[in-house]
Amino acid sequence: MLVKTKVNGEWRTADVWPGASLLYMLREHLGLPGSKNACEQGECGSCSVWLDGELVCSCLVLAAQAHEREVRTVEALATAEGLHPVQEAFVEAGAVQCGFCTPGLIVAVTDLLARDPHPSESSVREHLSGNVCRCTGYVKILDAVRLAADRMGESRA
Amino acid sequence: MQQRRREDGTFFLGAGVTYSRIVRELPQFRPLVEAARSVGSPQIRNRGTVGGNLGTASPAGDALPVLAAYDAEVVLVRAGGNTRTLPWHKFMVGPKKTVIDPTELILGTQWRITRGPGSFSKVGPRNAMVIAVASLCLVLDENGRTVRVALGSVGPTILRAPQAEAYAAKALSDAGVWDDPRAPVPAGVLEEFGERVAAAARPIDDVRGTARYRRHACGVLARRALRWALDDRRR
Repeated sequence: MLVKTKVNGEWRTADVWPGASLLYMLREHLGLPGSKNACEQGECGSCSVWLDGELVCSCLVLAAQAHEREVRTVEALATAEGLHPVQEAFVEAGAVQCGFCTPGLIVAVTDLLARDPHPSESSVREHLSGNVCRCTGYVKILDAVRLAADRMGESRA
Repeated sequence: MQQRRREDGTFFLGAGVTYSRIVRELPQFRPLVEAARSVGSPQIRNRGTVGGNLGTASPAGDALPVLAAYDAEVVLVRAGGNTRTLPWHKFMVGPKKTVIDPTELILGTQWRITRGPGSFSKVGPRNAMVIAVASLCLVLDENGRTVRVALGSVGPTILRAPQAEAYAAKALSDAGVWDDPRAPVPAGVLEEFGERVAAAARPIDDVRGTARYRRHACGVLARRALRWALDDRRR
């Protein structure tokens, strides 16, 4: 079936199997492998994207459900000028080990800071509760969130 | 299905309202918000709905004990627009088993709005992304002077604890607590209530916990929930 979706600001069309997930469409049809395919059951958050501005696991959204809707992926964050402040913070804080969970976490953190620029520790933990890092690097990830929040707060001020 | 509305003392919640929306938009239904917030993760709550919980009819569905404690009804619709309305316990009849016909959709759920404190609580190995080992919703109905308790994950479907409910309502009545929230509740009432709620559970041993642990958890959750509700009434 033909699915037409606005992906990172651009209307794209893909001819997908009706049972295909949005994640599969992004990775295998549209050449956007940033969103990672790990658990495929909504447990790990590695495939996190925005669907009409809401954070979702793209493995649990049918490609067909994204028809005529807007999707934003991790690939939209870096610009020609450089990395997004959340990405920079992850690099500086050493919040990346194997890197597989990183795109999902970057998207989830960016979503959090857009809604709550100065989140409490418990808000951060709650918002990232659906993103699993099996290298168990959570301490540095939390450091990166604080660093990004501080930086983004300064640039807004 | 995306609607939520209040009509003549009844609240209708469309099957397509997500848990995130419930948390944001329905603070007046505290037990429902607490249950919604315990579902999965933010990503899951942005997609998951009470309609999904009802359709799946898992005894571990987080919103289901709340609907049971609210005495909620399920509204089904078929092509052409005919609807039928069933009490929650006539809709969910076994583990992952409902009486929905293949030609029907779940339109939503509705309940009479009651006044009084209540809570939802859940036992699991962590705070997020957890399928309940045991869950409990307790609601006090100030006007009807009743206590309602529903249990999740401890039986083939959601269970109410009618004997424990009647015991608690009478104990609060005898102690004069309904008229005076500050009246002392006799020693032993909370414990007895907990034991009666635990006795209503019909748990099994499975990968998430043993029957013995689940029954014990029901007693603890019930005792705490009644204590919280009585404390809330004193405020």
